[in-house]
Amino acid sequence: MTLKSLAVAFGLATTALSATPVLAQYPERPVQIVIPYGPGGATDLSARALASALSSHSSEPFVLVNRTGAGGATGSAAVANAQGDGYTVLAARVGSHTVNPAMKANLPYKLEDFRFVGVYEINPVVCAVAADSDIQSMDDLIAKAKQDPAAVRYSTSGVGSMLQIAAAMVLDSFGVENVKEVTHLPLAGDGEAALAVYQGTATFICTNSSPLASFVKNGQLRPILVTTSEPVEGFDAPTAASLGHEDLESLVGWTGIAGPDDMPDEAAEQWRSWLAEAVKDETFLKFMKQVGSQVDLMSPDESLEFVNNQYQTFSRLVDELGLRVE
Amino acid sequence: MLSRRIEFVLSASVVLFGLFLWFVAVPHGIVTPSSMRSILLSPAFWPTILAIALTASGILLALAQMRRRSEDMGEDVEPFARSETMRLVGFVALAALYFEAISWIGMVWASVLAFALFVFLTGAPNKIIGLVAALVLPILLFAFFYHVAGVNIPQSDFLRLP
Amino acid sequence: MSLMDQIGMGFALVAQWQSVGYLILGVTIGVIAGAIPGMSAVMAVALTLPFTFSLQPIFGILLLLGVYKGGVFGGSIPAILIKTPGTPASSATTIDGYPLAEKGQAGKALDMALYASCIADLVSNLALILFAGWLASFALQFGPPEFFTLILFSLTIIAGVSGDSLLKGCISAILGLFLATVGLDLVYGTDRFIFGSPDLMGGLNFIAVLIGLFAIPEIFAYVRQPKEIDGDVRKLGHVHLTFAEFRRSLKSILRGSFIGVILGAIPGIGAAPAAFVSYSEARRNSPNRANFGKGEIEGVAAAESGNNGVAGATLIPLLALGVPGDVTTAIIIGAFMIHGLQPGPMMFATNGDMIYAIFIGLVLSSAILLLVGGAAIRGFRYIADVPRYVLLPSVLVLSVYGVFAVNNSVFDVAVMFAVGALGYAMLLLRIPAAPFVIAFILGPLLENNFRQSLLMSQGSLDILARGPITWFFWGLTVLAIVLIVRQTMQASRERADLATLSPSPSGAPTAGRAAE
Repeated sequence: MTLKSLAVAFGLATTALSATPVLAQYPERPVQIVIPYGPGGATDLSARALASALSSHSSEPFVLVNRTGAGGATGSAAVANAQGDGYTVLAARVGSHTVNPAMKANLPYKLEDFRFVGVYEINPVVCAVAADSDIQSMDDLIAKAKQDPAAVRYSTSGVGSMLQIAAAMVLDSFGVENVKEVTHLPLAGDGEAALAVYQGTATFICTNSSPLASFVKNGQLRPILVTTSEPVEGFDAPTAASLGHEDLESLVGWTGIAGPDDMPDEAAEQWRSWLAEAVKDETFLKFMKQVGSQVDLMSPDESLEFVNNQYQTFSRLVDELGLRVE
Repeated sequence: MLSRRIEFVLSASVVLFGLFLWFVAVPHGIVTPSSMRSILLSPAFWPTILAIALTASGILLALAQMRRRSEDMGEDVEPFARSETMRLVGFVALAALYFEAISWIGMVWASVLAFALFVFLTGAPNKIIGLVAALVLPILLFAFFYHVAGVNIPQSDFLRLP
Repeated sequence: MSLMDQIGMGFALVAQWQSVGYLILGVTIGVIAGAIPGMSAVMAVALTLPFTFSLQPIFGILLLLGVYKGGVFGGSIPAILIKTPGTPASSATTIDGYPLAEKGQAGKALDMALYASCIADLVSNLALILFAGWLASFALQFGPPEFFTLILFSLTIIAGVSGDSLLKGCISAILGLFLATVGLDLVYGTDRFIFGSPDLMGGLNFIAVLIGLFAIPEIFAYVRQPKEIDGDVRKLGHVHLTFAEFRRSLKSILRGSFIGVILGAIPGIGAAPAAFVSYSEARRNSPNRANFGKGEIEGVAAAESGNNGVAGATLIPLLALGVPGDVTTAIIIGAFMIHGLQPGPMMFATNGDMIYAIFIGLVLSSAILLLVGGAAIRGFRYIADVPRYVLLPSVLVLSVYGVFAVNNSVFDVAVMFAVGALGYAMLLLRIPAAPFVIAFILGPLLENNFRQSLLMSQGSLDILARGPITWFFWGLTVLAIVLIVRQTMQASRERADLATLSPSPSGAPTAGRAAE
């Protein structure tokens, strides 16, 4: 009996959200958005916020599906191999679509297996150290890394994560020669990676602003670099450009929607107009601002170019530093 | 405790499986990078230790059996009756069919089918109740998982439920 | 603003009828979600999160906390009734809960699970309120080397759940550890036993293995001999817990609560190890040791108090430091931040009323859990009355849905069936399943922390004994192993003596056999 009332409560909530005018033929049935990462993560929250902003524009509901595993590879592979009917799309992320392909030769999918309909959010990357550490600036960190690379540790959420490539790219850009000697400490998630820096298990971390925000506000971590051209609110640290490292501006996190490469034009077109509506939604914008993201919708062509560029940059870096996974 | 014969066969299989893991599965199933900081960090280090430990446990199990007095016999496995074996084989086939059917006719109808077959396989005393449950339960579960929990239960074009 | 003012304002926040209403709603959602295999507390919290955006902050947070608390308890219901643990943490409850249900004492086991959960929850909440700052700074001392020694010690509990033969328990555990190595390597990202399958890259799913190992063998056994359990015994499903039984288990409940609090305060451990450690400690200290694993009510109490003791304590790092201790609290931190609140030491100064409102709400939630859980038990208890020819195929179908729901993967269903077949073979060969599960859960933690420690120390093993916490756990581990070896030797000597006295094997004392 409790179950029933619960079902009614949820049912009411969903019908209230999906009562909308009918648009084109697509979609005729619910559209599945695959999230290649676990519930509660940055990608998950972003995709869920997007879906709730979209629900008032679509006649059919969106079903969010978490398909976790292997740093986003399991979920991405599932969509790459899905039927190209437009009813299965992926919340593609920097980790699954530029870092993983750049680092792993034997990935079960390629960038060409996807049709991008739009990158809709960009997250700045922030590097931080523990607040009680003697490292005050990038210069201090780099001096340390040059002196004894193995004693400097950066924490990441695993091999092939954006965190790994971010740290390596920053070290490389600042002139550390043997980046591979600097100790890479892989942990279970970005939350744990940030915690490890606070505990002193790791020396520094470079990741998106959202997992760091709480630590920085509490004065537990000290940000020492942000990679966007504009300073990031709440992070009192110099931008990469102000330190003369414009090349790091391509190092940003992003989320976008992609379908399998044979996704029909009709569905892709519909998604484009949906995304254009979503980025005007007040609640969505407010939410994305809270988690530190910049909402910035790119057209399919721009998205593809953006993703390809980042992939090229990362590939070159991986080759140079010898980070490719065997 | 099982009979000595079964225990010996078990320990021999454990030893063989341990050796198989040690010398075949670990070297072939694990890719080790060409340069590593320390052998302790190798991806194969931990699985190798486990394979060795498994082999050792098998040997110890066999030794423990040898020390056991012959009269110290516990209950034995009930031998399988022919009908029991047939039913178990039937169930394995049912499970395989169930799994395959999910991609043909969707999870709901595959479950209805599997439930109904299960009722006949085990000879339920009241088949009507069994068959009603077979039809109702998968649909109720679908309603809960799909509409309340937002889980995309796989369906095919065959009788798609809303 | 003085402390009393803040507490007063906190009261005012909670005293609104909506606060209590959302708390009840949350606990209800949580209990139901927890009772469905494949739906975990994490999933329920993640699904509820979007609904909290539009609520007032305190309502939203109480709703999520309610879901979390309810979910942790809810897992015990299917674990007891149909041997299908909905969460890894409730697999410890299955060990004694299901045998009780088979004896027709499901009602008793469920009662005990509820009371143990509520008491542990209350202890955990009080620990949070009184010792948050102190426990949090202790918990932060745990780096990879400390974790490694803690997990190593936790593995010694395998001896306690091995049943007749310690060696078979070890074999079971090693198989579990081995299965847990499937997936991409943590440090180098290379393949381990993947054989080109993208589905295997992420490793084998927890819940698929759990349900495969516990629920599916039951179905195999029924298919082999499709008989109803004696009708008269089944009718006893409505037996209630007696006060004497409750009093007997109280010590284990309190011990389990403390174990839960300590392990819960340490980020990254989770409820499953706490439940197993509590279970094994209760077994070691109980006069009824021999009955553990065969339907001992104290075992249910220990397991449930261990896993619920974690529920309040995971909020310790969250509220004291702003650090999420697990995935669930990471989602809850998100809910705080959406409303512009920043959990952490500063929150006591900036939003003190909120903190005290949460404290009061938490204490209230223990009482609400007692009410909602009691109602849920009354509803779900009838499952024990369902004839087995309907119940077991229902469990089969439910397992398939549930395992699929965890990660939306049909492949996981195949994993469940495969592990189920393995589990049935183990059942026939009298190889216990519990060590397998414990090892499967702890294995990756053990290996990862070992390798992370070595990465930190650049390959030197000295780091594994770097400070008092590691020394403490090394000491405990050695002590546990010595005790296990002594007990095993003693038991086999006793049995040998008895075997010479009486040729009948049934003459062997059960106490000695179980301790081996």
